[in-house]
Amino acid sequence: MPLFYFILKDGRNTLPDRDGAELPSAAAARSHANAVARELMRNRESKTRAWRLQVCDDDLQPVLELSFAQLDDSLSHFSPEARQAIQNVCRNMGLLSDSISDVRATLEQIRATISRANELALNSPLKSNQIPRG
Amino acid sequence: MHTTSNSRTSNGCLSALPPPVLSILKPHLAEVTLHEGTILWGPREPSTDIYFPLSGLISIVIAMAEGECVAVGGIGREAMAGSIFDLGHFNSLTRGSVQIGGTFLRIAGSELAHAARQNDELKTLIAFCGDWILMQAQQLAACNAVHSADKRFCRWLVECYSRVEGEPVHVTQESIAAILGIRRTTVTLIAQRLQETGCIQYRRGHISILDLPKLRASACECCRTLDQRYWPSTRLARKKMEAKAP
Repeated sequence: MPLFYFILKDGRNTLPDRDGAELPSAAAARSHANAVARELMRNRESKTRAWRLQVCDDDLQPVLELSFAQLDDSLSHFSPEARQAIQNVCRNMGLLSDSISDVRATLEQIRATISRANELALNSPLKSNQIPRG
Repeated sequence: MHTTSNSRTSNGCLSALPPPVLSILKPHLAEVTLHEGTILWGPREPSTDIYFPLSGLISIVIAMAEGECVAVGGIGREAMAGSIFDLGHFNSLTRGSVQIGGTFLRIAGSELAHAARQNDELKTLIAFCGDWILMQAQQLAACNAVHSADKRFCRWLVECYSRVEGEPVHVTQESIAAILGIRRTTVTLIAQRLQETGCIQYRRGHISILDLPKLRASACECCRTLDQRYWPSTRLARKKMEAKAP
């Protein structure tokens, strides 16, 4: 049976399920993801509405992504338009937090590059205060 | 991998009994070592035995026909578990299994019933342990209905921690999933999140609590409601103190 991985994105962290779950098909993975998302959001729907659960295949390639807002039964008393508006806001919050984490990752890389450059400069035989002459 | 410290060799209820009363039970108590997952009783596996944990934890679970399980109680060194309500003639709705392996003292329900017939202290012990199971069942019925999975997870960890006295908690993700009535994947994602916030460290079925106050703050109110005041061991010890007082 193929292995699927479930990754929770709560807006701040990206939390992987490192063990994964063996499921017969992508459809079974979707219904498992549905059930897991419902269990995670139950009795705290308003706090988890912008969360997402990504399903990846064995090669860690994304198969699908569920938005908790789409599954949120506590929104069912709203009109379809209002529900859609809330889902849109949640989707945009998701996109924003993805962008923020991309920016964070880039900053991390830049920091790493700078510190590596500093290290090289320190270890180099040509110290910055020893300007080669001649 | 894990050594049992010497301090964990007593059961709070038995320690609270006056020595002459304890000596009535002693010939009937057999020490057994039980591993995680051992079924002690069940709807289809009746048992007439009673267990006093010296270490480890017994969980009391209701299993549905479709296979879903939810814990309705947990018993550690603070009490006893088994055929308490119908000593010696046990027909239970629940299933009792070893959640955290350890050492237990086993006694036949009929022997305890026989001894209790002539002894008020033992009658009290049985009544307090019955109360404790009932109190947990009532509180957890509400907790399971209205609290979120992550709060229930934290509550369960805090309870475990207070019952096994600070030792690392050894449990599999599957067994926690069965206790809370949720999927294994959900348990992993909740544990990852708690790890990220510095509450716990989780590695291959071994949970260490890094920040107890933070974990307590993340748990539902039920672990404060079901605290040590209601433990049978505490109530017995209190009763003994009151009897001694002039």
